[in-house]
Amino acid sequence: MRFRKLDDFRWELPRAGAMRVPGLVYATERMLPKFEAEKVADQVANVACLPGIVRYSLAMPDAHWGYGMPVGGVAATSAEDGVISPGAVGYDISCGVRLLRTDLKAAEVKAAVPRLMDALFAAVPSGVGAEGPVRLGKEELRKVFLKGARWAVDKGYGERGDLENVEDGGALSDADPERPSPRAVERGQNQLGTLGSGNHFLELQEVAEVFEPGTAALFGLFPGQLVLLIHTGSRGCGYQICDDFLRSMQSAARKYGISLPDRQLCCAPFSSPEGQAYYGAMCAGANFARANRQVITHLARQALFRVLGRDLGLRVVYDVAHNLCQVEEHEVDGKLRRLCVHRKGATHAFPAGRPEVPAAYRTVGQPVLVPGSMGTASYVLVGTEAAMKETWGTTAHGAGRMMSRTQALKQVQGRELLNQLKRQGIEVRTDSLRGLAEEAPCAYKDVSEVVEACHRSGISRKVARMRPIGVVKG
Amino acid sequence: MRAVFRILPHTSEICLEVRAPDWPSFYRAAAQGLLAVYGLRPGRSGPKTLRLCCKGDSPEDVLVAWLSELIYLIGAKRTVPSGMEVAEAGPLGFTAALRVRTEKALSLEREVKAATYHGLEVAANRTRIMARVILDV
Repeated sequence: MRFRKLDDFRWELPRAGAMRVPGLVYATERMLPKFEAEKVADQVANVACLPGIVRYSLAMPDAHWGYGMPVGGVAATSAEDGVISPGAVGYDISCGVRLLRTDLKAAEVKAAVPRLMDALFAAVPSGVGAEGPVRLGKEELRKVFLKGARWAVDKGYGERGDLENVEDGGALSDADPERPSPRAVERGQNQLGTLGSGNHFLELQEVAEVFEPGTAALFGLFPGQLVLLIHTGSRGCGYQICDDFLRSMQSAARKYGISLPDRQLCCAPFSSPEGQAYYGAMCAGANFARANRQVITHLARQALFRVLGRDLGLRVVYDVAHNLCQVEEHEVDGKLRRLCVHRKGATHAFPAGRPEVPAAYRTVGQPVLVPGSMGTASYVLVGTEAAMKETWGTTAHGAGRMMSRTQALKQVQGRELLNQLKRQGIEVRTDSLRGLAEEAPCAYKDVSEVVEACHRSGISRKVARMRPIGVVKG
Repeated sequence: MRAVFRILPHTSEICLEVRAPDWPSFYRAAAQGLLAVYGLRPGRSGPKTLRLCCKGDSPEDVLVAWLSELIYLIGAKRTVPSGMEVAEAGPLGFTAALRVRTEKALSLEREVKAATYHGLEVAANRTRIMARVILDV
């Protein structure tokens, strides 16, 4: 094995070949053989070849084989003389998670859960190529690119308070609405307010366990509480932005004399015209994703109200992206430096005191949302100083896939899984039993082991665990 | 040999393998493989003809461009190729006339986000072309 043990949760991949920095993997010893077998180590090494990469090529405990960069990978490059890479962000730009709390205990609505799930399934379009209730002209979509979730609230899709506890106030200010191509615009025009397919979902959950009562209370969470978790991203619009720039960056990489072991990592200097064009377009795509989760929040709020006939006090706990590159200031060797932090399947975990953390949470740190697979737990964690020092303020984003879709289909029947989850007290609504089987819990790593590795290594701390009671599967 | 494709498992995604004796059948088989990943069959002949030209600096670039074009047609336009004539085909490009049909409610087994460059390879000799491309699904 190529990893060198630093402690029980930190494993270094020493520099070799064209690597500009070493790799650093956060994992338990038990996870490591899988990392080797799945070529996560190779991909961490490939990422370490990016020009201008600073300190380490990182992998979180949920890392698995992706394309170019592993899912669960993190790379910070110098904003002055480093590169930006669309492949180190991924196709689903700003795919992320939003947690909403209610004033109710889950037990209070137990009998109504089937009707609640029917209402959510009907209200929030899901599945392959789903079209949403919002139809936008090209000019209006450019406004979404610029204003993100703020556009949605301005248009009546939500409440002003929804924007208080979301990353960046709901919009990245560096978005350039003219950068997404006509095709990206076309693909975004009818997909706002849709969940999509694959591992995207909307879950009703119960807060099953609280680990840090004070922090949980500050986040508005209490034991037994009914909460709603939304997992989706920028849909076809984001895929198209990434696809367009991956192709243009192939020639940009040649132009700037950049040679990489994996073409999916193609890149351009951040300060170059090509780098700036991608960054502006990516931020626009990220804002589309934030608007998407905001519109879904509105649709869900209406649906739940229709069933229960009363306001549930549905409020945003937090909204985090896990596929993004952001320019951030971090301390490197005692000096503050501007870095392009690429996170692909990895979540911000900023600690107390950081200006990026919403005022309401600044005394404890930002909430970190780690969704599990269907039928398993999801977690709320909190950001830490250790994360800030070691991982550019980053932690894991989810359970991490362990089994291919083909393997999952061989092992699991969609109908059988649906019934099994029902027996566990989880109501599932989906258009695709095949899709359900592909996303079976057994296809994923144990989210609790991933979270435990994050907690014990100190890159985030456990605050609460939720268990699902209803799932809308995309 | 005749042109064939295979869909291979990958941890997160799907790998499409294409083998063909010549470039025209290679591009046709790649399209058929993509339709299979979507769970689509060419079906009845479409009423419209689309003319496309795919070019690139390498066979890998052409393959990604071709699949990306089809992903856009299917994902954004709900337009499915039902037949295709490929001409002037070589490792650096081809032209195609696609018979297509557009369906308002297209039933797809899965969403394909993109054809990726990761692990992409196209190997060609005088009698055979073989390619592997990973699709992000």
